[in-house]
Parts: sequence; C-alpha cells; structure tokens
Amino acid sequence: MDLSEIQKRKLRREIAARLEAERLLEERSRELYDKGQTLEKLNGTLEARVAANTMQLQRANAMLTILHDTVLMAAEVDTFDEALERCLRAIGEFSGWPLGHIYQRASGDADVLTSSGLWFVQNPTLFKNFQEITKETNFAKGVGLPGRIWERGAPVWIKDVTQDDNFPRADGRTRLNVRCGFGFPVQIKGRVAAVLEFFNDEAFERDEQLLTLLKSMGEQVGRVLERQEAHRQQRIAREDAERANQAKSRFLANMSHEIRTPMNAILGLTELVLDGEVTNTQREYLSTVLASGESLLSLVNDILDLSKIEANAVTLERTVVNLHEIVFSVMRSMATQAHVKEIELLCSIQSEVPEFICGDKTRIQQILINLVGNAIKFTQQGEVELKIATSVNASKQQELSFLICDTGIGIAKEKQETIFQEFEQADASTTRQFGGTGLGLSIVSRLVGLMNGTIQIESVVGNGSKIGFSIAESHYGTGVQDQIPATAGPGSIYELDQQAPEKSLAGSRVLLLEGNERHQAIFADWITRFGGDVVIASAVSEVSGKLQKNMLSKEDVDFVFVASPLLDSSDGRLFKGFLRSFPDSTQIMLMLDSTTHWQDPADHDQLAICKHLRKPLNYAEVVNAIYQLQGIEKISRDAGEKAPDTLAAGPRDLRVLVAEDSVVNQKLAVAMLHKLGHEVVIANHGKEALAAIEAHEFDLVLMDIQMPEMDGFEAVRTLREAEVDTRLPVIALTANAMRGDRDACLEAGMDAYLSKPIRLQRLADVIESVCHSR
Amino acid sequence: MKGIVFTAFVQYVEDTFGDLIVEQMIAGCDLATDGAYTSVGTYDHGEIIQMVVELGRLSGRNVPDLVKGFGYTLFGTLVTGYPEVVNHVEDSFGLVATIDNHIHVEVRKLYPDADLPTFSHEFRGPDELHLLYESERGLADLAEGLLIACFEYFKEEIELQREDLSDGAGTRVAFNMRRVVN
Repeated sequence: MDLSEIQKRKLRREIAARLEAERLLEERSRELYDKGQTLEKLNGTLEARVAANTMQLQRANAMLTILHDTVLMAAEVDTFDEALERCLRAIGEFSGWPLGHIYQRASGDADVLTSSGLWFVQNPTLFKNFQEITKETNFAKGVGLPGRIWERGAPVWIKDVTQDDNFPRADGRTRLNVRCGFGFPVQIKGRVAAVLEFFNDEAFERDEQLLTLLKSMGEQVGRVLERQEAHRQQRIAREDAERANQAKSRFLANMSHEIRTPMNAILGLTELVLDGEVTNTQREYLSTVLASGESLLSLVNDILDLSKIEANAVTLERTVVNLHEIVFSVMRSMATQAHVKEIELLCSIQSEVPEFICGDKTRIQQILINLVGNAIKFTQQGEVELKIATSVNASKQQELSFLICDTGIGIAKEKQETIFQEFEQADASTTRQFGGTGLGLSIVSRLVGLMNGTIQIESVVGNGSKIGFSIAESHYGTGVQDQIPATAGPGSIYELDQQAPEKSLAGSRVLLLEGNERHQAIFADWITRFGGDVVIASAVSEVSGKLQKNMLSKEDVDFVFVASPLLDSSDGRLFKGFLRSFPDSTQIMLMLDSTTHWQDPADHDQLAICKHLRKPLNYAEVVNAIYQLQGIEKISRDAGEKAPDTLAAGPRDLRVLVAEDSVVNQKLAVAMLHKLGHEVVIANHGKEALAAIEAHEFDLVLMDIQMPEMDGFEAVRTLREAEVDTRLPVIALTANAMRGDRDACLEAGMDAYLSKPIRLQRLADVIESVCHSR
Repeated sequence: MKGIVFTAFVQYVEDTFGDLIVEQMIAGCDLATDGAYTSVGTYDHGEIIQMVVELGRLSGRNVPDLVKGFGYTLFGTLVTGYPEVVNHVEDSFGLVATIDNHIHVEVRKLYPDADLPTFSHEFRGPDELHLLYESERGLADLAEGLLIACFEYFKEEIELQREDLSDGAGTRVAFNMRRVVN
C-alpha cells in the first residue's frame, strides 16, 4: 500500500464520515423539528386548558361573590318577599337568563305553589304569553317544574320544555317562546317555602356548576330567613311582653286611682266623725279605722308610684332645696318610731356636703323615709345612723353618698341582690313579722336610678346592715349657687354664716354630757365646725376627774348640753347635783328623746335649764340656739307646729259650689265645708256646675276633674271664657296623683289644685290661700 | 458505542502507529462502516474489538496494553471536548465519584440510546476510593487507562490496584485507589 493509496483511503473514509455526520445531523434536525411541532401542539392545548380553567375559576368566583352577596342581602332585608326578589334579580343578572319567576307556598302548610307575582324580566314582549299562563297556574307537589323541585327539595333542569311531558304550562297551542328551564327551592326548616325558576328561549345543556350554586344559594337564603324569622318572633314576643307590662302598669295606676277615691271618703269622713262627739270605744275603733285606712292608702300610693316609674311617667322635679333641712325633717319624723324602741337615731353630715342642692324634695324624702324606716323596723336595739358625705364614683364623678347603718337583724348574702326587686323581702316570714309590702326598696332603687345614682347593700346576718345610695353631681349640682339666698331660711347654715361670718362659737366652751359615743362625735364635730371648744363626758366622774386635774374650770364652761337619759339613770342624782354646781352664767340645755317628757318643774327650776332640744338634733338649730343665748339677734321660726285652731282663722261663710259626680265625695265635701263654716251647693257634673254659676252667686268652686257629661277642664275653660271682669276662684279636685295634672289644671284656668284624699287642714289652707290672694 | 470513542481510537492508532497501520487495521477487519466514523454517530462496539485485535496482530503488542493506552489518550480527548466535566471537581476522586451519578446521567440526556457501563463507588476513608466497573463489553482496561490519565491530569499520586471479579472476562472489575500522601 503506497502513500497515495493510504491518503486516498483516508480521504474516502473522511468523506464517508462527513456524509454520515451530515445525515445524522439532518436526522436529528428532523427529530428536533418533530419534537418542536409536538411541543407547539402541546403548548396550544395547555393554553386552551389554562384559558378554560381560568374561565371556570372566574365563573366560580363570580358565583361565590353572588352567593356571598345574596347571603348579606338576605340578612339586610326586612321581608321574605324582598329577599326572594333580590335573590331572583341577582341570579338573573349573573346567568343572563332572560326570565325569572318565584312560586311560593301561601302558608307553611299550603298544598299548592302559587305565583308570587315576583318576576325578573329582560324581554317583556317575548315571554308575555308564558307570563300570563304562569300567573294563572298553581302547582301541586310533583307537577311541572315547580312541583318537581318541591318534591325533590333540589334543583331541576329541563333542557327543552317542549320535549318534556311534565310541563303543563306548555299546552302546545300557545306560543310561549320558552325552551330551557331550571329552578331551585328555598327551604325554611327543611320545608320548601318558595321555588325560583328561570327560562330561556334556547335549549341549553344541564349546567352542573350553576345548579350547585343555586342549591347552596337556596340553602343559604333559607337559613338566613330562618334566623330572621326567629328574630322576628323574638321581637314580637318582647314587644308583647312590653305591651303587657305597660298594660299592667296602666291597670295598676287605674286600680289605685279607683281605690283612692273611696279611701278619700273613708278617711275624710272618719276624721270628721272623730272630730265630733264619740264615746271612747268608738274613738278607739275609729282611730283604728283611720290608721288602717292610712296604711292601706300608703300601700296604694306605693303601688301607684311603682307603676308610674315602670310606665316611665315619673320625672323628677329640679328645684333648689335645703338638703340638711330635708334630712333633719325626715329624721325627726322617724324619731318616735326609733325612740319608742329605745334605738338611738343619729345623723352625721360631713362638712363638705353642700347644704343646698338641686333636686326633688319629695323624692329625696321618700327615699330617706323608706331606708331609715326600714333600718328602724329591722333593728331591735342599738342605733340607726344616716351618714352623708361626698365621694367620687367609678367614672370619677363627684357624688353625694348616703349611708344608712343599723345594728339590726341583717340581710343574708343571697337575698341582698333580690331585695331591690318588687315584692321581695329578705324572708317570706318578714311580712308576717315586720309588715310592709316589699315595694319600698324597689321604689327607692328606681328613684335612685333616676337621680343618676347607685344603691348597694352590705350586711351580715345578725350584725346589722349598711345600705348606701348616691346622687350624682350631674343631677344635684347644677345652678344651685345663684338661688341659695332666695331659698335659705332661718336656721340654715348659710343664714348662720351670713349672721356671724366670723364663726361666733370661737372662744365658747361647750360641755356635752352624753352616753352615746356616735352622738358625742357628731355633736363635737358640729360645734368645732363653728369654732367652739367641746369637752365630752358620759359620766360625772369623767368630768370631775378633768376638773380635779385643772383641765377644766366650771367658770370656763359657757354651755352644758345634757342628754335626758343620764338624768334618769342611776347616776341621775349625781348629774343633777353636778349641774346645779355651775355658776349662773353657764347655760344648760337638755336634749330629750322624742318620747321623753322630762317635765319635773321642780327639777327644771333647780337646774335652771334654759332650753329643751329634741333629738335627733338639727345641729344648725343647736348653733342657732347658742347664738340666741349669746345675744346674736336672729328670728327663729318654729315651723310645723301650727295650732289646730288655725282652722278658725280662715275665711268663713263662703258660698261654695262643689262639682263632683261621686255621691260619697259629695257628702264628704259638704261635711268638710260645713265644718269650715261654709255654705254648699252641689253640681253633679260640669254642665250643672256652669248652670248653677249662671243662676247663683258663688265665692268659690271645688271642681272635680273626671265627671260625666262635661269634665272639670272643659267646665272651667268655658267659665273663664265667659268671665269679663270677674274671676271666680276654682279649686281642682282630682284623684290623679300623676305629675302634669297640676299643670294641666292651672293651664285650664283653675286657681289651685287639691289631690284626693282631701284632708280638712289642706282644704282649709287652700281655701285660705285662694280667697286671700283674691 | 458512541462515535467519539471510534474517532478517538482511529486518531490514537494513527498518532501511535502511523497512517499505514490505520489502513492495514481497517483493511484487515470486516467493518460495516469501512472505518468511516463521526463523533456524533453510534456504532457497533464489535467494530472496535475487531480493530483492537487486528492492531494487536499488526503491532505484535498485547490487546489489554493497547486498550489501556487508548483509555489514557481518550481521557485527554474527553477533557478537551467536554471541559465542564473536570471544571466541576477538585481532584480525581471527585471526578470518579461523579461518573455514575452525574456524567452518565448527562450523557443519557444527550444520547438516550447510549449503552453505558456502570461505575459504583465507595469511599473507604478520605484517601481511599473503591470503584466497581461493570459492563458486558469487558472494557476494564479502557477504564484503567482513563483512571491513570485522570490521576495525571489532577497531578496526583495515587496507587491503583485492580482485581478482576469476573474470572478475567473484564466485565466486573474492582479498582482500589489509595492517595499517596507526602
């Protein structure tokens, strides 16, 4: 093999290899091309699938949105029909189907579906005939599209109603333009309440996704409506209950009104008889009648009060009042009750408590009388104390806090919460043992609530109770300052300060002989407040000890206050001797319980007692008494001690017309007016009264409000219109103790107002005021 | 067998024994391709066996030595053609360890029809590697040549012990490699 041969072979081999490589390359390219084609095809398919999936997702999303919106909507709307109609519209707009309609069962147990008249219509002309027929057609269970949906409780799809043999609305004669239809039920508590159906003029294949949506939509709407229905029922029940309660309150108010009218007669006439000549036995019996009548009346008043509060008919008066005066007048009125049981009744008022507040005097009294009265009632020995202070409540508001502490039987823990509810007492046996209606605390807690305050109780059985209540400053504190001078009377701290701004007890030494420690403390506090100096002792030996140690000289003592029980005690003689040993310059004052009549004249003279004070003490009055003895001039008025013979002081011989329909009340009025020395003419109603005024001359008219024929308001209005230069005084008589009556009376032209039951003294007072002011 | 092995073999014969021997070797064999190989093609491995046997006869050298020598040159060819294979590793053990799990995986992606030997490896310490060659073709000698060239490429001194586990058939051969640490 020569060189050229070798090279030739090599070349040949290389060419063959190149061709082979090119062939392989070509082949590979072909392969690649084919693979590319396949990829492209695959890509196309993928894109199509992605597009389809996206569309499906979008549709599903839209469906979820519509479902969500429907549920929200159903919760918002007020009526079932509105919910269905909005659901119908939502599906119509979403699906693009041109006709939608709702079949309903008229009631829960109706055996047919009837057209609700609720439509979703995109093309009114196209489906006119079908709509007409639908309106007229009812469906029983299993019949037609609605009936089948009802029967299955599930959605139904009809591809072509013209090919369906259970589609009664297509009778073959009328042109309906309806091809495809579907519908679904709305169920409430598992019962089909309505069927929503949709129609199209083209045939469509069953759309599973849509049907699934509709199924859950029907369920959701049904559930929401169920809840709504439950709420509605609850609301109705609540409103019924409220109505019933109001009716009850009205009934109670009416009843108590009806009871007060005859009570009026019973009490008034009993009083009149007692005023005349009766035997002792009769007097005793009649006194019992009067007392029982009064307690019955107070019960009725409680019931009326409570029902008024419940009927929201109570508004509190807001005038400037002297809180101290209210408190002490209440304390004094309760004193007998307490002192009879030998319970000490105490009242301490912290110096920062304002004397004048803005409030409703009657209601504050009512609260205090109730709470203090209860405390006394449930205390057998020891003391009852009313403490008044200012404090700051949880919401950082200033408030007045009242605390009534007793040493009584106490209230069990489990009873403390219910005790403020109506007709609740600590124990059912309480009523038997202590009496009472159980309304008092309930009224109190509601009144406190009206004063923006709170009430609470703290007690240990057998260890006394503490009931505290508060009045918020927002209630009592507005606009008080400006009105004080006009309101303040003699004996008020304000007045005392005006008279002696420099605290005139400064330099005065006061010796207090008193056994009760709380009273010692309270008394000392007051005297110190006015600048005085107090020495306290509860036994003679204590004072003697101080005298011996030269801490006290009898000459230095300006005033001695001595509690009467000490003089009656075993140490009485010692005390008396001690008191006698004071020089003449020392003024001695005796503090008496309300039940004590310490009137031994010999003792009185020997002891040179210059003044008697009744417990519980109004300390402002005590200070006032000291001022008087010191010669600081002031006018003291003993209020409320009016002599019974003041009745005679009023006008007499008046000609009085009584317009009153009740015969019993007529008799009572006649008897009272005769007793006051007046002449009486009776009219049975407003018309008769006007006729009588026309015919005769009168000095005064007592006018009942509620009368047949013509009521008191109308009568007095007519009278006032007819009057020219004269004005006949008219006093309204009414058994309505509601607020607003007074205003209504005055507005109608009455001169004064008397609430029944009418008592002799009140009647005399009002007649006097009306006739004097003339 | 991949065409690159054939073109590399022809090149090796030409470089080592000259053009004449190449032509005599091809002429002395019964080859379907007539010795015209391209690196992108795939050829019957019997052709390379025929050519090695013929080369042995022509040159008077034993076949295993020839195959080992070819393996040694083939490594250089592969590194030149596919440099990324050696760029990824730090030393010969690193390269050997990647054969089965990495190199052959990549080869199969390019040539799905490639019929590759398996190389399973096991480190018996940081400086000792055990490699098991298994192939129907019995080209353990080729593998040995490749390994030696590899050690040289990474400039490493490594003791290589070879143990035939297939009674001299060369189809299942264990290579034990121990790095000589100076």
